[in-house]
Amino acid sequence: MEFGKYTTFIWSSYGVFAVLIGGVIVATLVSARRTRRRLEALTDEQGRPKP
Amino acid sequence: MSAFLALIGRDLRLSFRIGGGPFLGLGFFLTVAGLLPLGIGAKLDLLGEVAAGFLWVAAALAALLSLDRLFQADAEDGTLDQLALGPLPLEAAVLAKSIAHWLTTGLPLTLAAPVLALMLNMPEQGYGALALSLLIGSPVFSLTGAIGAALTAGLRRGGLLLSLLVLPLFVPAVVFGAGAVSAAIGGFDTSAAFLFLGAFSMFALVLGPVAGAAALRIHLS
Amino acid sequence: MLRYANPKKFLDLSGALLPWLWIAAIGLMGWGLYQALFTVPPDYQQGDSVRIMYVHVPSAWMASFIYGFMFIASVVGLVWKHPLADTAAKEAAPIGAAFTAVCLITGALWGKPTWGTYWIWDARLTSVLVLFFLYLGYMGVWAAIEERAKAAKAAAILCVVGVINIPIIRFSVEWWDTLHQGPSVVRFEDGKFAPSIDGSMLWPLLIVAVGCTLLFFALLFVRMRTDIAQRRIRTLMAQKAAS
Repeated sequence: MEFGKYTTFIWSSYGVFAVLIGGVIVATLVSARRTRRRLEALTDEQGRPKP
Repeated sequence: MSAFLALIGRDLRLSFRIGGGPFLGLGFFLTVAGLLPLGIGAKLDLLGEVAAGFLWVAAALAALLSLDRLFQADAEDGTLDQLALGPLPLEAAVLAKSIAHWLTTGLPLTLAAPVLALMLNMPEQGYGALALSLLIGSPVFSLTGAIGAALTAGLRRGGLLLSLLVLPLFVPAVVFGAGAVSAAIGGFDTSAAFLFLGAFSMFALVLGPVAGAAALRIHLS
Repeated sequence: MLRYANPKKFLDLSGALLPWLWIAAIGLMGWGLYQALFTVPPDYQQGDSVRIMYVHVPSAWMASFIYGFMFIASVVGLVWKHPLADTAAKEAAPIGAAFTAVCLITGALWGKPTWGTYWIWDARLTSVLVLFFLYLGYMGVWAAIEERAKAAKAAAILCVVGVINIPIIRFSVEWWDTLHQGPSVVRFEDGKFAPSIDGSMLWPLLIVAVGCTLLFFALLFVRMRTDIAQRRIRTLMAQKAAS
């Protein structure tokens, strides 16, 4: 989509938003998944510690 | 009161023994005042325009140089616990150490400022405002700096974090202080600037010891 | 400590809310930003560059809102010592820092084509920059102090001191600006072009803003749940090592 002389600035802005906010989202979800996996490895179905 | 003065005296003696006391700060100022003209080219007009702001920044940096040591040694050798248990309220102890710190950084600069301003070709209308603003405002760096020093006491490489933490607290002092000198040079009324600077100093006088003591207690428990 | 080990009510509540938060957040943000890019008409004065406003202004609001949230959480943590309060403040910070960075960068990208400069040291921009440093310092304190309880208290003190300071900084720079340029200064009032914004342009802005707020809570809940799980893992590992 062309916005005349503003094109680069507009797309850069939206790009910055996507990268930084998307980055926080991705980092948050990755860390959450990694932690959940570790917790599952350490506990059984009822949440009690595995021997 | 005597315990208060004794603490100031002790810190002063230590600073002489370890770091040359106020002479370290003075050396720093002379160095940077000598480097500035070399750095920006010896254009006298330009120098004169930036001199006031530059000297104010130099005051902030000089304070930062020794701030991370403010509580470091005490945290390591157990003096901090003594201070907490001693006759002085912890807030008063923090205030005493801040005063000692100012005596070796802010005060030497205030006294040397007219000479440095001369070296940097600052217009003469600003000299009085410069000295007065530094006198009123440089304590802010020691008072609020103590908060950062207390928060980072005992941390390795706490110095870098310390600078980041105290930056927001230094900004109003630099703005009002340099602003006062700028107003004087321009022939404007300086009373507003000095009022704001004085108010912020008062604010720092309360906030510094209170928040600093609260931060120190974290490391004590 | 044992009571903290399983903050069940929070986990249940956040778990139930999260799917809805995500859906609403992504939906609203997507819809709002789509409108911002494609259906909102160009501004009378600023042309298409006003589309940047739709990422810049909500980010600015979030930067302040999140810091205010952290302030409240820090006070609750310091005064009432509720353990989840410290966690909430800690986990909110990176989100706030990200929004602040977006605000600063998009502000510069908006300023260049419209006012001719990427940056200007006026009150607003200076205080947002300082806010960014506050976020970084806050995260630095949490990272630097190993003992959690101590880190929480130190960070909380920093946050409270910072809140008091931001308005002071804003005022000081405003005062400096009027001193040097007189009251009729052209201000970089990014986002507040009220006269030229009419209703149709305002709705997408609010939609994006609400979407971002919901996104904040979604991210916050996920991060807090992760933190709680990590602490549980540490406890389990310690028990294992002891046995």
